[in-house]
Amino acid sequence: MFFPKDKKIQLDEELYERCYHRVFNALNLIIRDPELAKDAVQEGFYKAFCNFNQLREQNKFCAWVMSIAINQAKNMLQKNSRQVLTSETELSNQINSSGYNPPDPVSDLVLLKDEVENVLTKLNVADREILVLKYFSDYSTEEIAAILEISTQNVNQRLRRARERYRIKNTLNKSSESLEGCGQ
Amino acid sequence: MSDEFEDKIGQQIRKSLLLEASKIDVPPVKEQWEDFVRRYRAPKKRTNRISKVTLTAAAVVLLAIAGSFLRPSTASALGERLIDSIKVFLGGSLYNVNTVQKGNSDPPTIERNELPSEMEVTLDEVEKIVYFSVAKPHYLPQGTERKKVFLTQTTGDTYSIKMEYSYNSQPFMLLQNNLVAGHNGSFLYDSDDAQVNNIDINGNEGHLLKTKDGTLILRWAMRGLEIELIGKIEEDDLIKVARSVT
Repeated sequence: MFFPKDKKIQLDEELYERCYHRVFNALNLIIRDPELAKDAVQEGFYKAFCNFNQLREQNKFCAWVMSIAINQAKNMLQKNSRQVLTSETELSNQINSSGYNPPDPVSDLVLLKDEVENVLTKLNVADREILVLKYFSDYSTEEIAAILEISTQNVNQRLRRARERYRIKNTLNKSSESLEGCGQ
Repeated sequence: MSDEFEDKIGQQIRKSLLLEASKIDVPPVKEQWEDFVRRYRAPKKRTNRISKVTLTAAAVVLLAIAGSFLRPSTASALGERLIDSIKVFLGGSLYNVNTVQKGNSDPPTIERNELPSEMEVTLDEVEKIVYFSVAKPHYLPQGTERKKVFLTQTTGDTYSIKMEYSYNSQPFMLLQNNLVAGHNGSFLYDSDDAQVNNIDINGNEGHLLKTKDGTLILRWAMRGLEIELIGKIEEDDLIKVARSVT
């Protein structure tokens, strides 16, 4: 489908506005880094617009951008984790000065005190990813399978495992809270 | 299948996620769109345009160069340049001598059905085979005798005739090729080993090449034929033979 340049920009802007919040929020919940999420979302939109002709069902544009942005974010996380792990002191300084809860690729290792109550932060990116797509974005199993480019059986399996890990960590969290209460 | 995951844990996860999302400062969409346009739209499109222009220009130049080889005169000019370059490497002692057949018509289409093969024939046979009048010398120095005649069909329409003579027990040859219109032939010689003079052969420009071992080569073009006389023979005699060729 071909549009005049002005019309194309207008359409792109409409799609961008329609999907931005949905994609950004989900991605930020998965990777827990707003700056990285911003970059990954922008890159996701750029790639999606560039390859718009490859999209078969245009009503699934947001899910498509989500898929691209998630992959982009994972790549960025991998790159960052190699760099960040080398200077943890610098990372803690950044966390302290930003005032934002640590949204970093090594969040499984570096947890701040006020985050302990949120069990989701203890899960790894893969678990958060599947849980966010299921319970925050409300995608169906088939849609998640398309976004993550895996089978529906695999989606269900990953969901079960992520929920199980969430349940265990939640139970452990509650136990430690009650133990702390007993100590006082 | 969806019920399996819509239980108490599912509700708890959903609640936690919504709570966490509510704490996130979502950047304004307009601002992000402007950032997007700044990042990807303007500069990237410009780069693409430049690269397209560059590619088009490169393609045009390549086509022009490739097209130039379709014209014999241009190809010949390029050949001249190549020879000039070689001359530099050889210390300026290498020269190129052109033999040009002037004519307005385009070269005829050549069908390469037969491979060039030399066969010994008589002069009478040659005259029956070829469509042009064979050039023959009407003067030969005393003591010269014709030994053999060879005919080679180089292409469908072009022939090469070699007449071998013996002069004082030394070989002496007359070679002739019929030329197609627009033919632009040339031969290379090294001035360290040979010397070239221009000789007039009945109004046609001839080139006389003298090699160090005393061999003379006289070459010229006349009535659509390129003729070459080769032998260890007196220069005056050679020129006399050449001028007697009709």
